[in-house]
Amino acid sequence: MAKSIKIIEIEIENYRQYHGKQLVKFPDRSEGFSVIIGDNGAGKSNILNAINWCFYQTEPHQKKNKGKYIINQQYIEDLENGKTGTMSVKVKIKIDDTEYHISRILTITKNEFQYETRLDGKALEIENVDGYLLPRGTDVQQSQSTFEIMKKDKHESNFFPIEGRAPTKMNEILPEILSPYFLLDGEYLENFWDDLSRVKIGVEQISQLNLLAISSEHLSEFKTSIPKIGSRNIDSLTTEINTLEYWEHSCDKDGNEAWSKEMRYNYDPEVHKNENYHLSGTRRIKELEEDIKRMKSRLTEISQAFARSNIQIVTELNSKESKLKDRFEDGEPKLKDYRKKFINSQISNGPILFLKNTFQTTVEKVDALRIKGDLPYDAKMIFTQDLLELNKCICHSDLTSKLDAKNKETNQFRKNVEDVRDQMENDRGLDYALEMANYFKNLILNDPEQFVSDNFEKMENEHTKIKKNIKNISEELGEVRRKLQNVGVADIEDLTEDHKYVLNTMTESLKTIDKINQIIKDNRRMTGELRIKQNKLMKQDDRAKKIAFEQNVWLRISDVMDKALSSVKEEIRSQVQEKTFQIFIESMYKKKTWDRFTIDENYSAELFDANYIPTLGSLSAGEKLFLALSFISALKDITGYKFPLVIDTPLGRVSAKPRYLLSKALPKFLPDEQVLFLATDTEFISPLTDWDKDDPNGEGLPEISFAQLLEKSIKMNYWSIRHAIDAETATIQNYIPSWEKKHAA
Amino acid sequence: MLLDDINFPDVKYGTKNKEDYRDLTEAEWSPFFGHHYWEVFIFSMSYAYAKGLVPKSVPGVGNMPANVFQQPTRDLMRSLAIDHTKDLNILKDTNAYVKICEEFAYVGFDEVLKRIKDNPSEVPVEDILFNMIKEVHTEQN
Repeated sequence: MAKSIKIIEIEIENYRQYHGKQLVKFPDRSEGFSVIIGDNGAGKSNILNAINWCFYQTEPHQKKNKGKYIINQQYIEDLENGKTGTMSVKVKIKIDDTEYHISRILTITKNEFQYETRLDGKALEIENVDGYLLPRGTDVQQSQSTFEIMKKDKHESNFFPIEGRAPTKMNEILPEILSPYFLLDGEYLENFWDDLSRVKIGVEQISQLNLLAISSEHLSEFKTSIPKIGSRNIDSLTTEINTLEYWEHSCDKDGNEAWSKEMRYNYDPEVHKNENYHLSGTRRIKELEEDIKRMKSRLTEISQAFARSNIQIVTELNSKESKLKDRFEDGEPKLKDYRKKFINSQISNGPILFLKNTFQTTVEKVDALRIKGDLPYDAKMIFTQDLLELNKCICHSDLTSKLDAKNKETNQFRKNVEDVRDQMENDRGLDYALEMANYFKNLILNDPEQFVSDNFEKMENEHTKIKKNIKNISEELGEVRRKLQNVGVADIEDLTEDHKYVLNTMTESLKTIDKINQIIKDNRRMTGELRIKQNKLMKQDDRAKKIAFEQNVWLRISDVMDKALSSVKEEIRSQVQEKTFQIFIESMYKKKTWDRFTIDENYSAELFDANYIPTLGSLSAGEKLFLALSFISALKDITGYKFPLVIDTPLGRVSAKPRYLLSKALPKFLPDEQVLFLATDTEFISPLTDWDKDDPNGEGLPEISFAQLLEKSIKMNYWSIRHAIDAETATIQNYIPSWEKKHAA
Repeated sequence: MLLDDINFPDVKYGTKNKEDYRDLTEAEWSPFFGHHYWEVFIFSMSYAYAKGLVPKSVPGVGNMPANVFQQPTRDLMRSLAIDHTKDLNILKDTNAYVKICEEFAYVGFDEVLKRIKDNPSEVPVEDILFNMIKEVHTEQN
């Protein structure tokens, strides 16, 4: 029977960011859509988690909760040691005319917190207490949490506790398996088509076809379990038939489900019942077909990844990288050599520059002596010696030697000249100063600027040039390597390996299917032959005749059920597929791009273009989200099952044009459904400005927000999450968007 | 050739500096890596003189043989001594002018060593001495 479900209110108290009691009462669908605006990390996904935790004690959206405890940090820190505190989520829902008050409360006792000492200070130790991440020193009371469901029927004024186990009742009211169909997040919708089970659950569970399917499975058991009759021949034939039919249904000799030891392809515990394949028969074929579909998706992903990697670009970049690496490797020693040369010049020429002024002094002193004629002393000495040899001074004095008896010079003139000559012998060493002065002049003094330029400035410039060149090469090399990483060169080997593996696994799986199908065909032929034999024998035995009659009755009922199930399934499947495509096409702008949407009997979905080429794998994020929403809308429409939609970050990766179309499509295709968006300011409230991306011809689409676009056809109700990041405290408050404020003013 | 060439003495750089001289010429972080003691000595000496540092007498020994000081290097030493004494006749007293040079080198070495050891890691090794040269050059102008 179709149900109409509505969320009346949510009360969150001290759960994760939410400090104190936060109550949000949702309006009727007739009063429009609702939206809670919050920054990234403010606590939007934790509203989804809060509902899930309340209903099923699970928190599926854990991306941003890593290392954080479930109870509000501020609250638990403020709690006195030894005191008990509570955290709770209470949700009031209405199913048809009955209201349910569902509450889950966690009670804790706070003891002395324990800290661990780290290099950067003290940090609170966190541990897992009864399945909850809490500060060490916290005890969970009353075995995990208290879960209670109260009920109020149409004509009652009070809520009364329902009878029976609350979790079981919860699953009757709103099966957990269906929660992803009403508690949605944008990412889930985008990836909706990656998993066959989602389509199957959608079609079978929401339409409640699963009940029929379960009945049919039970009947199949009767159909195949022929009891022992007592006749050895008949019983032996029965055993043979059973063995063959059990093989087809992957059962062991006792009729129990049998599993192989072979692992399923990319086993996912959330999706697959068992990590291994069934042992044989149709069940194994079904699993193999499901996995082949996933393998095909993976191959599409791999080819897309290859396309992103772009082999040609990678090849070009590789060649560029190799050339740059060579240039870099050539340049490095060149730079090293030049650096050495530059330093050598500093060590040998630095002192020359430092002593430039002393050279100047030396030159001046030498020049003064030279001008005076005192230098070179060598010349002066020769001249004096010449005077002594000529025995005549330039002043015409007689310099002839006059020695006494002791051989001592008595001519005072000559003696004076000889003293001058001997003095100059001492000063001869100073003659080198002339050479030195010339050396200094040539070295630096004649052109000090040239000296500085040749030995320092030019070298510095050349050194800087080489260094800059190497730096440029290094930067260019870094850039090329970054590009290579971005185009996925690092993953190419992995992708190739993965591609090979998937392809091999797929080929093997196809071969296995063929082999199993052949065996099934042979088994069925053999079963037919065995049944004929069995029937012949049974006709000869009264007891057997009676059993055979009963068996035939079960067989017929089972066939009728199978046919009914298959026919209803077929009908719903075909209706859902048509309605999905109709909604999708009506709300999309590239109407002519697609030709049909199909869901085959294995619930494998595909969207074909006009050339009958599958396009599901290559849809944009926005298109995938559209198709998933179209599917959910179609399911609701066909099954009459009306449940609220809570959609977290619905437009995260959807660009302007699809947002515009979505704003028009949502009110139209969800006419009676309660919808709550959990969105960021940017995706919901900020004007859509990236039109150019989708609208190259500039059709003049309005630069207003998604919320304003929705407001054109439906009333909107706003709340916002206000949060302080440091204190980890958030509150939910009513919100008036800026345009409303202007309007009010 | 000067008459005093044969009298040129061994040159002292100071016992306490022995290890630092070795470090500066053997460690890769030093611009003097791979160079000789005498080059460190001449650079320190001329830097000290250009910066107007006050010479200090050199305690202890730590000698470099005379023959490592080639003529052009000796000319630098002589020129420093001439300027310091304002007398060309200092050239006639080899021991005296070498002593003057040792004293300047001794005081200059401390500065050079400090500049090298305190060099921030972001300043490349080739810029350590070059910055000292640029400083002096600016002061000279």
